[in-house]
Amino acid sequence: MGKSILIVDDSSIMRKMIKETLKSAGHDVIGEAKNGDDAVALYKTLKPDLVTMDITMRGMDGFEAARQILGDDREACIIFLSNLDERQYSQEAKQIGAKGYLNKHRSKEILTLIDQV
Amino acid sequence: MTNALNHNKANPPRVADAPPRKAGYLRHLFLRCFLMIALVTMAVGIGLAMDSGIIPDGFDGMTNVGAAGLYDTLRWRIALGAVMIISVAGGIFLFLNRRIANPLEKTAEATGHLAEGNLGATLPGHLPYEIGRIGDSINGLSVNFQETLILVWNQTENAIARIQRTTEKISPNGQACSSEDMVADLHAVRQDLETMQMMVRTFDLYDVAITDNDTLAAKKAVKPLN
Repeated sequence: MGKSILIVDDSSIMRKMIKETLKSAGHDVIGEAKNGDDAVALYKTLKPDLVTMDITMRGMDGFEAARQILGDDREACIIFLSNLDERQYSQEAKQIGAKGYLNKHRSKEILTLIDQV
Repeated sequence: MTNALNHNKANPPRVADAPPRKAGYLRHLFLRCFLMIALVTMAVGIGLAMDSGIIPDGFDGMTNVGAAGLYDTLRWRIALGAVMIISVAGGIFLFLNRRIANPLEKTAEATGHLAEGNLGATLPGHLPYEIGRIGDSINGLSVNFQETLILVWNQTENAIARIQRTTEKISPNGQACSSEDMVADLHAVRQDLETMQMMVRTFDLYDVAITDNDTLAAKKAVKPLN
């Protein structure tokens, strides 16, 4: 059964690509946010099963948004999708409490991770 | 196709000499309009306020004292009217300058930076009206363009690495082998990929820094044009 997913990325192209990938696997994209502030607000409203989160965004970045979301809901399921170097940033993602960290240009691997989560 | 290319080379299209585009043109235009209105208003006001020989109807036959009082009142009213007109014109100029000319100039500046490959020049989020929407679209364009560039970078990095490994397998330590043509082709492909990467490097990215080994968040990021 597909999950309800909130996509957070400042690039409309990336949101579209991720959305297509998720929809092709039967998941339901229930919201899209282009910065951390919108992500936090939409999470409270929509209560998705899972959040895909970019890191570098204008205003509030993905790490801060994830902290706020997890601060409000410890059961929140967040997966970081980023083009930043995994070795440098995956550790911080784990410390925040994210379920995974993937290079966003290999977004098909997220389908495998979603099934595992 | 080849003939068309040759024809174009022999007779290249003539580019008209475009007039240089000055920054702040719209602001200067508004200022000139305001100054013209102000000058005309002042000239008319002064002309009417002074005793220029224009005698309003109905004042013929009145006493000099009464006429002088009326003239004074009329002068003051004309002067007041002129001041009001100039003030309103000034207010309109300031409004147009602040809400139209300045935001448009910032938008023009940002698109200029974007055209030069500086994707870090973003527009502030508080621009008014449709100009704000243009600004948002320009920022969005910059972000999407950066994503495309980073995708190109990452994919070419992966391809170069695979080519390197394949080359090593075919020709370990650069030794001569029976697949010289294949090695040469692989080398050429690698050079093409590196050329693509050179183009990516010419851009100043929005909030990401590409180093030799890593793609990192750029701390110096986002500099909105204020």
